[in-house]
Amino acid sequence: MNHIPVLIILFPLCGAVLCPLISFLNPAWGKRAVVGTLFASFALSVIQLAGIVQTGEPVHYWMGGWAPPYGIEFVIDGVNGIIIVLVAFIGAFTSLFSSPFEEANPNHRFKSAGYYSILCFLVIGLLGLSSTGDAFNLYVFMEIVALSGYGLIAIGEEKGPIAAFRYLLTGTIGACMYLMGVGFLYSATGTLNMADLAIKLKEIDNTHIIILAMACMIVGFGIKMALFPLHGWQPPAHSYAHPAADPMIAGVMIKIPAYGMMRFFFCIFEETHPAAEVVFNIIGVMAVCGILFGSLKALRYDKYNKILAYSSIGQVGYIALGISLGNFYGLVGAVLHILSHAFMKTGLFYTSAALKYKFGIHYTDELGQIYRKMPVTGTAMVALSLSMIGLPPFAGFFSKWYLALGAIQNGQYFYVAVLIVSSLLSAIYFFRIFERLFMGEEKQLEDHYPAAEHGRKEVPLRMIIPVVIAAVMVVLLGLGNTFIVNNVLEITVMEVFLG
Amino acid sequence: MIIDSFRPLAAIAVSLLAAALIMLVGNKVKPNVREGITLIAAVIKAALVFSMVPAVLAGNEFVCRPWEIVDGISLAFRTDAAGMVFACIASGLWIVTSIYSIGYMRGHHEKNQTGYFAAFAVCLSSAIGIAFAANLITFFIFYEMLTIATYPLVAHYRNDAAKASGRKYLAYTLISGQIFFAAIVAIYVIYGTLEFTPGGFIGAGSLPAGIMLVLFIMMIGGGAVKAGVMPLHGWLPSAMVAPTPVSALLHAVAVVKAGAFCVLRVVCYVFGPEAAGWCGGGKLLSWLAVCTIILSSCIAMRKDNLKARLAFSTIGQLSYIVLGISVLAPYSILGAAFHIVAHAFLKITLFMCAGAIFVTTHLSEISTMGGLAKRMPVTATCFTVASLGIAGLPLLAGFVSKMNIIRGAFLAGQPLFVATLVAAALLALSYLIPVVRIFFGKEVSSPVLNEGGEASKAMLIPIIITAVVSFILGVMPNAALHLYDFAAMAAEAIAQGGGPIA
Repeated sequence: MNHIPVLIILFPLCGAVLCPLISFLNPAWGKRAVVGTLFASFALSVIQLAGIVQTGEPVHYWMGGWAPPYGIEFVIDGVNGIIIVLVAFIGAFTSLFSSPFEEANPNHRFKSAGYYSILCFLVIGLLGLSSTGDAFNLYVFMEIVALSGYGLIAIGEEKGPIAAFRYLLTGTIGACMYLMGVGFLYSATGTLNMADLAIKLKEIDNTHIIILAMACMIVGFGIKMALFPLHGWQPPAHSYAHPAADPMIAGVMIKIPAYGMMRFFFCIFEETHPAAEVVFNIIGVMAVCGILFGSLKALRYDKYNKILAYSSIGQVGYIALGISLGNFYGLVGAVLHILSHAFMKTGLFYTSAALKYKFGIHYTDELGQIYRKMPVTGTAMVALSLSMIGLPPFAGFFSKWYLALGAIQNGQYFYVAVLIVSSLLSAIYFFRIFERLFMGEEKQLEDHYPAAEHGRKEVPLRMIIPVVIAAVMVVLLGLGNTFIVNNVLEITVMEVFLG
Repeated sequence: MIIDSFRPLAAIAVSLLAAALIMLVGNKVKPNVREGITLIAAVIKAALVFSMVPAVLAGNEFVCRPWEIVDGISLAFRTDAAGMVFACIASGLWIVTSIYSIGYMRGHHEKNQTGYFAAFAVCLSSAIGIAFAANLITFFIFYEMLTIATYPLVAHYRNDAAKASGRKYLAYTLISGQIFFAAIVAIYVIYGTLEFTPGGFIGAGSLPAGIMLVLFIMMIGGGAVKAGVMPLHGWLPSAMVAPTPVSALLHAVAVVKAGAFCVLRVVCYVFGPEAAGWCGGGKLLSWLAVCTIILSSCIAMRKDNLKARLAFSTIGQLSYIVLGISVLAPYSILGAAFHIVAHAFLKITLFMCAGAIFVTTHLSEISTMGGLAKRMPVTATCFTVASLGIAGLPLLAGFVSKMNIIRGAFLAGQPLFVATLVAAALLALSYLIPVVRIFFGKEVSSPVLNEGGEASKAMLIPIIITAVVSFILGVMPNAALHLYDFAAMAAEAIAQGGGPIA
């Protein structure tokens, strides 16, 4: 049997558990255990995806050899295959990115080890969340994600603990709602395996219980992905989290529940179910409100992270919009936007963290002429922001293209108008950042960690590499989007989601 | 005949690579090396474009489809006759503008020159991409790239005025660009293709006229903003705060011509004359153009700032092209396509003269330039030649294009447009000839004009070149690059409405 699906999770799990122990002997090796296992997991995920693309068949992995519907099953098709690659990729580079922060802060070695360990758990949770084919197992991974998320937010800046507590309260409600939804489904069908659920739900006449479950799922996933109006926890969490872990939290953590939502509404519930239409309309309304709200709200802030956080609320709306369209191009757009927005937002949070690390910059009005001091970071910021606005040839444009295509195919011209307005609004706040970046008055800035930096011009290489990779990926993902659409998404979206 | 070739792509890539190189090493090497990169790239680019001239003239097309850019549509480049017209002037004038830029930027001791030359190179890449794009999505990608690459040039001085005009520029272009985008998606969903087809791929009557008109307006807006058609021209005069070579580039080569070219592509290659006329879009556009021509000429007369006067003259002349296209008659389309060339050479001469005057004498208001011809006789002469050309006097390039537009309008039975066009020529005389008279006047109005001489050679030679070329094109419109033939080929293909060539 092919054990790759479980190894992808098992490797970092070992890393996460062993990290504090190894750190007891040698802190450097503790960190290396996490980074190393995450990169191993990334390599395996690529191999796994290559296999799926080659055979065109999804991979089914039975935990401990127990056959579903009783055993826990991992199902990996093209769509989550590529999402797993994404999570592992960004996870690995974020762990690399974190190390200068941990070295510069004179922390106790256990605190540092704890950080790596929690970050690794976050990645594990996200990997599991995307791999699993079992509704209850999904809950377990969702909790792993949430718990590690609380930790990473709490050890962040001053207001971190408050933001974490807020997320704890809201996140718990979200998880409970999800669990309740699963409970309803279980009571109706007696199974927790997703594929099995899908079959058994078709025979159920009791629509009420399905509607109830759907409602719970919307709220559950909606809170986790910060979909308007369930987004309240997100802006403080993204603004005050540990700066180095923020890219992971902001870039990936809110996308994977969106994928979960997609999976529930297209693979488990039938998208032709009479209630589904209402559900899609509700998601559509939430998405539209979120897109407009997020973009408008982002205009109000000067704090770089706040702008990015509110822009995320809008961008998650794009994904939800794709889900609510429910046709081929809508879903392709949604999945592509999960990928491209993950790179854009992660990249932008990398730059934000780099600015904090180098000069302690939090606000955009401190950015004057910073591109002279940090040319690479500055260039990456420009590329990533242009992609956020949705300008060609960057990735953001192409996911917008598919979403608009899906919307017009459905005759929902209003959605196209919303996409346009959102692009223009984000152009306002990103170009305002550019103005400050290139035309603002130069500020006297001092190195935030002079001891660690020895007057170096840019941030250390371990931080530069992830920043550059995110920027390059945004271009590659844009120009090569058909490679993913044709080879990976087309078959899966057609067969698994719409089949 | 179709020739598969990477030459169109190479022509685009060469200046992108140059831009990347300039950004990477620009601040580390000497300015001469940096400008050397620009010049070498400009020469290679022009050579690549010009090398395709004979084959295209013989009826062949170079086609390049590197890869699929979105599901079902390839990134596609095709060197059709209309594209060649735009590509030839853009790449040809880049060399001239680069030489001039070097003189201007150094003469004026500008800051941030590295970013300036890099953005310039990206603009040219986008312009060639726009010229060679074979379908709407490829076109749109380069069109938006041009918008973004021009922004740093407009906001070059980085002061409040530059910021404000940068914002204005972005507001106009990004909004129209996004609406353009929505229309492209809608057209793809309805017609299943985005391939430029001479004569258009949208059949008259394939949609209700009202809806088609809405689509037409959404698409044409993208072009009309960049071409400065009123009431969408607001960004153009305020973009005048930029350095003069940028104004020359914006108002003669890349941006406004890309707008005019966009109008040409949309009207003649997407909708086609038939559908554009049927839905009423042609008429709407031509009336807008008529109003623009007259209003802008009147405003130009009242401007004392030389660059501002030239800017409003540009708005008027661009609408000449738009009017030529929207008359929808073969001759007027020919004239419009050739006016892209003629106006490019004439207006770039005027702007370069204005820049030369500014750098050497620091004068920018026309009323202070009395007796300029004494100090700068060559510049004043070139300015005169170009002014007469803009007005459309025979023996100069402007005459050829304007005559054809008028001929087309006359044959199409549009006497009112003929009258407008003739009146506009007179108006152009009325706002440019006074400037010439002041230049050659006896009275010297500023003390700086009594001493010193011409601008540096790097600025003077480009001015002479473009002035001479506009004279040559007026006498022999087909000289060297056969641009007149290309314009004629394009008009013919549109009139015949052949199928997609690729």
